[in-house]
Amino acid sequence: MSNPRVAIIGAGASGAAFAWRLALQGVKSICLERGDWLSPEDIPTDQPDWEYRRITDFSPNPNVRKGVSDYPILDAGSEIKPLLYNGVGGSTLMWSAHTPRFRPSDFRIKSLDGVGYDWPISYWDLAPYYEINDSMMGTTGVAGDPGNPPRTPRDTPAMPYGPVGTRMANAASKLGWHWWPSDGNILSTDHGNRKGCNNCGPCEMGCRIGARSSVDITYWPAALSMGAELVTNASVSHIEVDQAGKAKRVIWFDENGKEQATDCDYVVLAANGIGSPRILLNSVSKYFPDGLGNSSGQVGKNFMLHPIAGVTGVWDDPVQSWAGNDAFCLLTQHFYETDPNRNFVRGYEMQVTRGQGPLISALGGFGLNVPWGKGHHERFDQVFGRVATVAVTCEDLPVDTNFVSIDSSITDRFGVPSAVMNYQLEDNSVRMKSHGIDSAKAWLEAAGAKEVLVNPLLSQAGFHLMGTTRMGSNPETSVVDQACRSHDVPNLLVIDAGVFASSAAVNPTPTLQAVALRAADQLVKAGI
Amino acid sequence: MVSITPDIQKAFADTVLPGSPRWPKASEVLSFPNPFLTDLMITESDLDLEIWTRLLDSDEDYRFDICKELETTHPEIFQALLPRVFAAYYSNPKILDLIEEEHSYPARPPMPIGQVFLTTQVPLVLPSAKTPLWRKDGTDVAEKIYTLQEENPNKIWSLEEIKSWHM
Repeated sequence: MSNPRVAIIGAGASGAAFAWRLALQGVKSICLERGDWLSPEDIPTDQPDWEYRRITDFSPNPNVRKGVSDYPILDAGSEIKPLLYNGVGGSTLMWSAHTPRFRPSDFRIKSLDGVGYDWPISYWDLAPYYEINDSMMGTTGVAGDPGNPPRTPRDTPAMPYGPVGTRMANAASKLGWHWWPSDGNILSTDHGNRKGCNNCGPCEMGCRIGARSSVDITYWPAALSMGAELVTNASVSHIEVDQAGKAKRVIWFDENGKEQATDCDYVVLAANGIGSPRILLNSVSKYFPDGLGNSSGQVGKNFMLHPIAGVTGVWDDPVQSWAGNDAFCLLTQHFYETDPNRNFVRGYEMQVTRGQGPLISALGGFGLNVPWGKGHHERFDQVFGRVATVAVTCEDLPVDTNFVSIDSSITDRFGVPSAVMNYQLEDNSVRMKSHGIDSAKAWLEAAGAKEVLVNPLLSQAGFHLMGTTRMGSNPETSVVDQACRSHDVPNLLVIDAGVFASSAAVNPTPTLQAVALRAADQLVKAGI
Repeated sequence: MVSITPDIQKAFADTVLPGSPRWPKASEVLSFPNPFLTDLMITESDLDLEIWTRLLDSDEDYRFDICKELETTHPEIFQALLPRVFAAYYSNPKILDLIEEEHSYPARPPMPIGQVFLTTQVPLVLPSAKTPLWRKDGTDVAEKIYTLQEENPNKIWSLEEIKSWHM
């Protein structure tokens, strides 16, 4: 096909990687992004009220933030609340950049453990794309972890351990648990034309110096320089099909609320595990009365999040909790794989996170039990700068009762129905999390923490949105094939974490970016 | 919609942040009406609640009980007030100076300067495991890579080698 018109919906982690990979092979695309560019100057971490902004208009929760490009996500039926960002860079604008990879077993959970679904591709299919993605995003870490298959040397050394990391590393060694410095898309030192991290702390708010990667500063400049197009403030409402049932047009609203249409030969959904099913379910036609690409009834189903417990240790002496990237330092995957002696299948990862600034600490942080009123200041003095939190990230399994749907009674500002999260922890996750909490307690105590506090479920942790457009070989039970193509609509692709058949117990971004890069290659290979 | 009056703001702030021998109470460092509270609007009927009158009582313990009651009976108002008052207090320069003095946390935003780790005197015990710990997935590639990693755990892998696995 000469000059095919590829419309990508969403300029986040996967959309940017896909656009770049296509452009590299001479295929132009147009990306429709409902948000705008976020300037480094707009990131408030140099302002006196930076922490307050973090819990108000700069919150990662769109229902708190209520930005002009956000759409309502009804979350009353979900134990875990949504965290995502709409803008050029998507949720990589508000992420911790912790980038562990899935393990080989994560792609074979049905075959190995009899639960969930296998992916139609393997770790080995994605391994080269993980590497390509790392080279584009920029990495910190240390190659050589025996806990994972080999990878190339990282761009910059591991992030500083600091007092917290050193104590936790030594405690893991004492317990006989293998640990390793975390991989991350942060530059710990100057690299190329980018600055190294200055350990300021709140990575999730964005990085004013660009040490923490986001795709607006990595993939997009490269993609745009090779001819990719990007339209901002373009809020897609639905996709239209022709009489043959092929996607032919994307309908969207500009910032003034005027309806626009983009004709295309291919449509690529990269709007995250909530946004993509929302668009598909809103794309109803006589050919697809239940939503586009939904003959299986699986669009929106199999919704997986990572149930995360926060277990916080308090030391008697200062450990500089506020210094360094707050969300990762080192991790242990000692309890990652299925052990028949436990009362759950699959497993969890534990990562060491650090503390917060004064305001969020005073408000109780991840569960510091800081009261207001009497005793407030005394407790603040006990905990501020003296804590670390172990985040216990549990693998989630797909179940019928967890799904994303739409609700036309509440709409965004353009009248497009909202998304609805329906999510409750399933029994395996509950048992796994309980085991993880006990492990985290043991770890912190071995590290000398004098007090251990448990937040059994971080409700504000719905940042890993997976499974809602599942990849599989069987069109009756999955939405897309191994190349991310819709089983029903041959010129429709979904490339975000919605295609994940399993969730693993690690952050999904490098995996979804590897999937997107591979999908671009598969599309070109198929003769676009 | 109306804003909460300065005297109520002050009474609430001094109740949730009563100070201690080393920390000033809220009204010793904050002014009222406070800028952090100007955007907080409540309905006129909410402002007419008699609980506000009781909150103006001079007895600190009584005011504490009233705030507890407000937290229970009108959680949305309480949860709107509390972070605003705390934000005003914990971004106040005098309080930040006190935090720096007591906790070594620099009295400034994290950017643009960033933070500096103190040198830790504790030596780091590096991981001792060398042989692969990951679970094989039943594929031939996994068998091959696992064996290679086992035989040479310190090998530095190139992108070309990794591409050769399956691309």
